[in-house]
Amino acid sequence: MSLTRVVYSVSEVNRYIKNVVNNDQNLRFLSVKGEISNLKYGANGHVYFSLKDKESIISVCLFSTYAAKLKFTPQNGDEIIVLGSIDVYPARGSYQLIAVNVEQSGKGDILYELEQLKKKLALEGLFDASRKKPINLYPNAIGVITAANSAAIKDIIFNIKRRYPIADIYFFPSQVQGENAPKELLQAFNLSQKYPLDTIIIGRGGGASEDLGAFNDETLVRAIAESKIPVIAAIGHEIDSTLVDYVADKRASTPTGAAELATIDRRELELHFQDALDEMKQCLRDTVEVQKEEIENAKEDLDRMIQDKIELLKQKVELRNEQLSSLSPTGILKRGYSITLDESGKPITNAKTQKIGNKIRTIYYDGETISKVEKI
Amino acid sequence: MEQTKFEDKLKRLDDIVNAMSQKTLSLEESLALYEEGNKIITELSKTLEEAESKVEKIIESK
Repeated sequence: MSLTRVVYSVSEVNRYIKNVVNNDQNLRFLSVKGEISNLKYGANGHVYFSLKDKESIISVCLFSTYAAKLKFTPQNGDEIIVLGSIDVYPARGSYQLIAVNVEQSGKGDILYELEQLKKKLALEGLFDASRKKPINLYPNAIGVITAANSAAIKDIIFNIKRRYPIADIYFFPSQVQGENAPKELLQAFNLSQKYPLDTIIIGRGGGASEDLGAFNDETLVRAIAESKIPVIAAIGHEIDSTLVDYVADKRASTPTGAAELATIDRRELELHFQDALDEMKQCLRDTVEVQKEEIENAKEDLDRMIQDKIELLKQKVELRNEQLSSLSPTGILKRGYSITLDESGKPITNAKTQKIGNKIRTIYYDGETISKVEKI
Repeated sequence: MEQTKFEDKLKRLDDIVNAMSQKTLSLEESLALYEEGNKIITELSKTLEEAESKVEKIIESK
């Protein structure tokens, strides 16, 4: 017995599915309830978004004709009811809900629940600035919790090595999205607590907001709040913040940013060394200069002291000299006194020793005269 | 938070620079500090130069 094998082309399969879907009345003009995410406006006025609930997601396309008729501006997180039909796009093998009308149906449940959880944890003080632990920029070891083989882990390792190669890296791989992600992240986080780490980085590269659910997990958030080791959140996203971002001690918007928050840059250190060296050299030069000046000053002081001493001695000599000369006979003569000698050359000290006619010699300071005694 | 060895040395370097900036030290003291600071810079630069982060993958044994 031989079997005839029928082989279809991809296009044939997709066309067949499209045909089945288009002919199923259950998939025509149905109302679907869900939450808007990944909302995008096309240049042509068409609106594209995903409609999701807790478990599933479906792409929606709202053509510009219908979009123009909406009574509200759709926003991410809006809980809506879409009226439309399912259609298949054979070129991509994907299906979409082609909407003809969109109604608001109150606040999105998932976002609402998240908001409630956020409020509760904030009230408990889990996000308080006073709880934030400082990051040691000179770590010996950094723990990283993210997906294996991801761009995130590569970026983090690359940047830590580049900036501060002294730090060793302990990588705790975990799924970061999907059903198991919350459990795996928590396990990896609890495991990391047993290692002598200075800092833990937990995160992932970019992801759509519904892919970040694991980073809003209450148990994980509470575990991070209890961590003895400082935690940096590195969840790549533009607008949404996850609860892990709020509870972490620091948050970065990219894995590279987290590596930067976790380490000092060696280039900065090298500049610091250069500055320190320059400053020390300058201080040393200044100290030498000060000492030189002190020696110079001391020398001047000494010179002046000696000079003063000499001057003082000179003055003393001068004074003595004056005293001396005022005491010597010549000094007395200078002051107007004179000495009178008799013929034998003895000084006459008494008038009674003289007789009329005696020849006497008078000595002045600048010469002498000979006189005769005329009267006694 | 416990300071790492690298950080300890860096702190000592900053203390030295600070002490020298006070300009109250004798020439001998300044010279000794300058030598110590210079030595620390050499050591820290060498540590940075030679360090190579080890990466270890940790998976919980079940």
